[in-house]
Amino acid sequence: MEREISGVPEAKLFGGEGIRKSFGRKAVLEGADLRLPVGGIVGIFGLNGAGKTTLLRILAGLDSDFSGALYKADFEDVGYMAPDENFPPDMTVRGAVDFFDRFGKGADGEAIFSALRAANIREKQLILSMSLGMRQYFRFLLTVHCATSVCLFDEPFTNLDVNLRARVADTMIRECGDDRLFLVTTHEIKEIETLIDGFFVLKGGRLSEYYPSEDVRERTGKSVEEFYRDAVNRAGPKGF
Amino acid sequence: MEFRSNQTIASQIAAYVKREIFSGRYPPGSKVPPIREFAAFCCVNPNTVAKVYAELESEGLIRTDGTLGKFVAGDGALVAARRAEYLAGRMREFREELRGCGVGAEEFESLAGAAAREAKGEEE
Repeated sequence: MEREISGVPEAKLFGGEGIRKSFGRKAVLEGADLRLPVGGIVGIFGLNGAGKTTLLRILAGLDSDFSGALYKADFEDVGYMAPDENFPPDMTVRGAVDFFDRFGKGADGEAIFSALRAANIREKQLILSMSLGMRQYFRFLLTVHCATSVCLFDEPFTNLDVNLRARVADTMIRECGDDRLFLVTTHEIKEIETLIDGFFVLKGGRLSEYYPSEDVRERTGKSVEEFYRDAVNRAGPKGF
Repeated sequence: MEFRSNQTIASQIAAYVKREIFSGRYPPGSKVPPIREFAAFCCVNPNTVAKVYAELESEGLIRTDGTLGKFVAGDGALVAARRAEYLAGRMREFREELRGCGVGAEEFESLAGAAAREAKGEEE
């Protein structure tokens, strides 16, 4: 029989247990536990250097040099939007979409091109001729419009103007689902606090318990941002 | 839509949809926006809108018609009754607030009368 964890079949879970990772002597993750059913929009918040990117890279299968266990090791089904980029200098928008379509899980080219047209970007344009923010938006579109059931977004709002931020939020709302999980790290909590089902705080190499956003508002009378600010600066163990 | 970020988003959306229904902007029998569309319009999580719709459905204000979507209750009398309950509730809250400022029944009546005369003046 299939193993169940908190009533959810393991195959429908995303995350891992006891994830540890060090860079040289510096321990970044010291037993992080993340357990999520695949579905909805979830935030991971933490200060600079807390290990958010390290954690996402492990969850995406880009870093196998860690200890601990992952629930979902089917990395084909996990999309990852990195905080940096390395497009070849001669690659066009269409070239990148074709590449993702061929080597990833299948990209919805029409959705990507129509979103780009709305932002005045043409298919034949060289990626490196686009502005930093526009390239960031493009990488967001490549991730969100691939057919993976998990998407990991590392700082998706960085460098985006107000219009593109609104488009990223709108696209997340339209593309998430009960069987599609978006895991988002960001410092721009105000940007995302009405969007997320809930969030974790990453601090001291460990993840907090899962905080459902509406429960936080209802039980504490605080906004997600206020609650996070208190949680990340509090010395003792977390909790409502 | 602007939200108070320290109150539940669901309660604020529920209040918004109720105002639309009670004001007649969403008349009895009319279609309410699909969950995802409405979530995108409000810039909130679709699960929050789904929860609000489920709540309004349990109050009888909206109903689901198979695959066609969700509609405001067709029974105008029921909507009117829910509206009356809602307004009475809001009035009680308001009276409570004024009571905190030391306003008794008599002063409340005279304040309400003055406000009503002012409202009439604005409408004319």
